Amino acid sequence: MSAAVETNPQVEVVSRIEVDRSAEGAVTIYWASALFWLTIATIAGLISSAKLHSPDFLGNIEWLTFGRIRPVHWDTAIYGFGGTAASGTLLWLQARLCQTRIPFPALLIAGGVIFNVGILLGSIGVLMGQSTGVETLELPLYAMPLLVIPYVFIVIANFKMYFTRKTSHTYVSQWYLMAVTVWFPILVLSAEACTNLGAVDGVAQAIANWWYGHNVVGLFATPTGIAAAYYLIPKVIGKPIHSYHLSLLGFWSNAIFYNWAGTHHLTGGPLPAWTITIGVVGSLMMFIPVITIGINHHMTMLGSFHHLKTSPTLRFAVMGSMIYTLSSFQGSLESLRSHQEITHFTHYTIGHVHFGMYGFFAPLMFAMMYYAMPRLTGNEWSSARLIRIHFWCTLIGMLVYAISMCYAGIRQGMMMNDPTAPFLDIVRFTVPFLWIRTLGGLILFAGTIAFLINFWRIVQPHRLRFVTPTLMTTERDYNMLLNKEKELEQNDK
Amino acid sequence: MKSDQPNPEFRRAPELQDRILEMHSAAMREMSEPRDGIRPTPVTFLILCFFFTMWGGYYIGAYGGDWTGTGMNEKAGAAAPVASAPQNPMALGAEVYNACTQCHQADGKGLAGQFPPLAASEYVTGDERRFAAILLNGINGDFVVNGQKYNSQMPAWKDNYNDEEIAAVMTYVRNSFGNKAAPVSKQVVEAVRKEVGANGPWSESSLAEFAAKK
Ligand code: HEC
Ligand code: HEM
Repeated sequence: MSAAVETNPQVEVVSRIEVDRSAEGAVTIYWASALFWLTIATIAGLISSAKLHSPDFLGNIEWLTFGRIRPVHWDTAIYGFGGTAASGTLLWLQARLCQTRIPFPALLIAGGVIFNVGILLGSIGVLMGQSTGVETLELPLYAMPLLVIPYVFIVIANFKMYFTRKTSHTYVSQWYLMAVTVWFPILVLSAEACTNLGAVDGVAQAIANWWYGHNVVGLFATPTGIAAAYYLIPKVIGKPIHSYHLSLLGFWSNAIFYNWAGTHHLTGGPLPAWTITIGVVGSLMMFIPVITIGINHHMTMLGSFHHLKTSPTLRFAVMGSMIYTLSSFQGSLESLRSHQEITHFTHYTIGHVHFGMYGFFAPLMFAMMYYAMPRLTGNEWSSARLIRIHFWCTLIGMLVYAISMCYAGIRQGMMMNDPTAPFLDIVRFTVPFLWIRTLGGLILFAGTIAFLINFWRIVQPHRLRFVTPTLMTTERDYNMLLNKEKELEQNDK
Repeated sequence: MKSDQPNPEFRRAPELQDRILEMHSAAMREMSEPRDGIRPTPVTFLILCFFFTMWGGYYIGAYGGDWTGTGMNEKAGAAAPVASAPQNPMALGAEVYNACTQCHQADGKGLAGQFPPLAASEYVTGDERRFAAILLNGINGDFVVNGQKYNSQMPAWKDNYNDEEIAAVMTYVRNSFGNKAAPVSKQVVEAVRKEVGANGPWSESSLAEFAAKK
């Protein structure tokens, strides 16, 4: 019972330490893999990006042609980075919230290794030209069991933790984590069956394909990100989450509506009209969970924004949570037919995707790592400056990328709707923006490298030991904060 | 309650406690696990949710199309007037004729020795019952058109098209490629379908028999 724990902080500390000890190996291996694949995905993304404005770049290497390197970018980003970052998050958060040790850590570590081998084999397969050709499920079939088996371990571990939990209250983050473990295997298996294994043909296959493509974001990445935000924001600032009722409404409306939205990717395609209409309605109804979650997080933060100055975790978490609201609003409006008439088949979609993935999901995963790694390893982050570089590069690079692509996409779409505009002119118009995109990607890459260095140092066995947390602050800022705290205390009295 | 009891190993080795706690200074300094507040849901927001839901219902009603597996026009629902207007048979017929071009060709002249012409053919411009019978059941074997002999297969279309579509393609063929003949109503096709729709493909003689029968 959480109340009992609160009255006995010593016990809570001890239980935390036990949990973190048991989690260290498994969670660290998943997060280290996440950073490795993030680096690979960024490089693959930069190569793809460069090829779009300079087609001759690496043009005569068969393995690096656009049709191969681009799917590798997607698969390493979503499965390599997203899958492992989310798995680590899932294990650690669930263990913390259940106050149980992580079960069979050796198996989970083995799972982490198998997963990496799977992504590696799959990506090499795609580079060799063995892509299945189904967007979002390009990895050759022989790689899939290597991705599914480790996930089965995680599902089992998650259920085991939940059913042996020592707390009586199930916190909102746990709802999302339990949901992800149930949804994701169903998604992958039914999507593979309906596409690569050929259970259905033609248009139905395309529907299954994009049902999956949207849900891998909406029912896997998004709930994990939201679970992280629900945990980190109240945890760092030490206040309860604003409203349990809103949490409930947000969770269930998300569960009900997201699943319908996938067909908005096929607007204008040869689908029965009602399938797309339902996708549009599902997308628009997402306003309900998004606003709910937005209110809940914002109201919790209200009055604590000054902590953003120092806490790396909080900065990334709040950035992620705010951009969740923004990118989802954008997505809902984007699904309307009248909007799609302009932006479908343009760079706008790609702007939106990266706004969501790099503005919402990735920062929340970074926030998890910033928070948990010192607890798992017993080290502190070695450099506050590197954290600052990481943060600003992530924010600025992502904005440069998203804004340039969205703007270019709208203009591109309007020109394509004008039958008198020569196609080549439209292509030429987008080229400067494609260069800006590459620039944005390079800024993101710089941030990733800063994070890699810090991460590399923190996993070294007790090389660097600090007893105070690494905060992003100078002495002047620190004094300012102290004053602010005092002021607030006085106001309370 | 279990969580009140530290792990027994931990209690057994008190001399380790300090070192472990020092190593875990991060875990010690953190705030307790997050809790839920119980503020109520804002009423204005619930009202907003209500309007979203009403809008969703409206949109599904207005843009549901005809709720079939093939209707791609989202405005073809009962509410939209376009659907109830009768289709122009020549336009519909031209659409259906796409299924015939691979054999009878886009100009209706057929391919010498393989596929008979539809242009200037008695079968097309003559008895409409016989024409409908050909389209419904298809033809097998020797067949003479305008003195030229063909020996191949004409597929049956009864399962692919409804009476309206078959009447439309007949009207279209009877008024294209230089042909000129009265349009065909869907009642004619309906009657022929009722009479012989269950039969297999025609031969030249069985077709002549059917046409003579009246
Ligand atoms: C697979 C090829 C094929 C297709 C498709 C086809 N036909 Fe035929 N059709 C034939 C052949 C072959 C004959 C001659 C019968 C024979 O040789 O047994 C024929 C005969 C006919 C005849 C009677 C002879 C004549 O030339 O007047 C008509 C009328 C006719 N087809 C109309 C149509 C129409 C209308 C369609 C489209 C709905 C169509 N056919 C599609 C192959 C085809
Ligand atoms: C309420 C939530 C959201 C809705 C309704 C929504 C809607 C959309 C729409 C309409 C598209 C474009 C379809 C097209 O033009 O082809 C799209 C694409 C995409 N979105 Fe979202 N979005 C939402 C949130 C998010 C979030 C939070 C993320 C990231 C975590 C995300 C990632 C993506 C991805 C990966 C694509 C793939 C596009 C492609 O390759 O075609 N979306 N979404």
